[in-house]
This record gives sequence, structure tokens and C-alpha cells, in this order.
Amino acid sequence: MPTIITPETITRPVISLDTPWQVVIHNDPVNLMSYVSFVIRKIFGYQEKEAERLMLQVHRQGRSIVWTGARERAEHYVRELQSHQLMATLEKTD
Amino acid sequence: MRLSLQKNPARLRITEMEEIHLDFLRLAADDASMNDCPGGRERLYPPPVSQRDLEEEEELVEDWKEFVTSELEMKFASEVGIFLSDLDDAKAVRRSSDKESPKQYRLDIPLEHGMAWFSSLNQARLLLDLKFKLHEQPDELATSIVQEQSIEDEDPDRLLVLMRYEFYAWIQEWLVRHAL
Repeated sequence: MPTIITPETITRPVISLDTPWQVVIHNDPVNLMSYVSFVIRKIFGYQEKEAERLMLQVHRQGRSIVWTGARERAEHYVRELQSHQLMATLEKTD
Repeated sequence: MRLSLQKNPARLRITEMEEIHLDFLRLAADDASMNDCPGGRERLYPPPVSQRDLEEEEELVEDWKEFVTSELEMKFASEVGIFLSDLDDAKAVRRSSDKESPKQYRLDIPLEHGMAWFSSLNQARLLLDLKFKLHEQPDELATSIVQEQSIEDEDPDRLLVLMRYEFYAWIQEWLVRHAL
């Protein structure tokens, strides 16, 4: 009689965390630097110094990640930025 | 040619405007038009994701076109409407009895229209930039109107475009600093 081997099963709990999304502002040659800084402050509530830093990053490096978090919120921020005529997109964090 | 901008708690006031200032501002609505501007829609209503993610996020992109783009189209058009309606209220003011002196205008803009003004002038500059390729290199205006020696060589139509572009930017800078 063959021996029946019961395979050992291992259960691993799977914890699914939402991948964070990031909101990116892209540089364009038309929008005024003072305006980009103003919009960042207005939408994200950042202090003037931080908004200025992010704006300069957009200007010098071509893009800046201005916010990271849940996708739905990221979509909301991109819509707000585009409604102020800034070039903005959302993308998954690497 | 000078122009004064003032702000009080209720309104913005532009004084000492000459006919050319008003003409330039009236042209901003045409400048903000998508006609003869391939690429204009893409600039004002871009997708919410970068080129590389377009395929993967097809559903979001479609929803965006249907809901967000149409909302933005209405918003931007309504802002230009507010801007034009304020311009219609420009008042002619004669400062002296000298009939030779050029006619001047005064314009009162309700404070809550500041954003609509900024948006209209921004739409105009964004589309002028595309229509006339003003920035051949990123961050570099093709011909600076302050470079005296280049003015003579410049195509007069293009020079007028550059003047409007700079004039709108000047008003926008003031709006950001004092009115938004």
C-alpha cells in the first residue's frame, strides 16, 4: 500500500499596501517662477521657503516631486495644478 | 508709455492706460484662442500621466478627458469672459484740457477677478509661445525686446507678439505679487 504523504502547507499572510503615488510638476518656459511658487503654496499649504525650493527644482532640474501619497489624492492635486495651467502628472513611486 | 497699477481692499485699478495698452489687452483673448495652434489643446489640457504611462493608465486618461478636460475648458473660457467683460468697462479719462494729449483710460477690476485676469493672460502667453515658437531653447526667449540691436532686424509682426508677451507677463507679475 502506498504511503500517502500529506504535503505541508505554509500560509503566509499577505499584507497589501497601496503603492504611493507622486505628484510631479514639470518645467515650462512660460509660467512665471513667482506664480509656480504661489501655486505650490496655495495648493499644498507649504511654507514660502519650501515652495521656493520646489519651484527652483522644477526650474533647474526640469521636474520636482511635490507630493507623495494615496492615488486619489494625487489625482486631485494634479487636477488642481492643471487648473492653474502648470504641467503636472502623477506617477507611481519607484 | 507708462501705466499705474494700484490695489485697494475692493478692487484693482489700472490708470494712465493709453490706447495701445487697451488694444494689447483686447488682443489677449485672440492670443488665447486655439485657432492655428496645433499643440494648444495638449498644452492647456495635458493628460494626467507622462507619456511612458499612457498605455498602462488608459482608463484614467479616458476618464480625465471626459471629466477633467471638459471642466477645465469651461473654467478657462469663463475666465477669459470675465477678463473681456472687465475690459469693456474701461473709462476714458482726459487729464487736461489739452486736446493734443493722448486719451487715457482707467480700468477698475474687482479683486475677486484677479485670478481670471491672471489665467487669461497666461493662456495667451502659453499659446503665443506655441504659435510663434518664442522659446527655441527652454527658458530662453527667442528675441529679447530689450536687446536694442536686434529690434531693427525683427519681423514687425513678431516684434508686436513679443511686446504683448512681455506686457502680459509684466501685469501677471504684478498680480502675483499684489493681487492673488
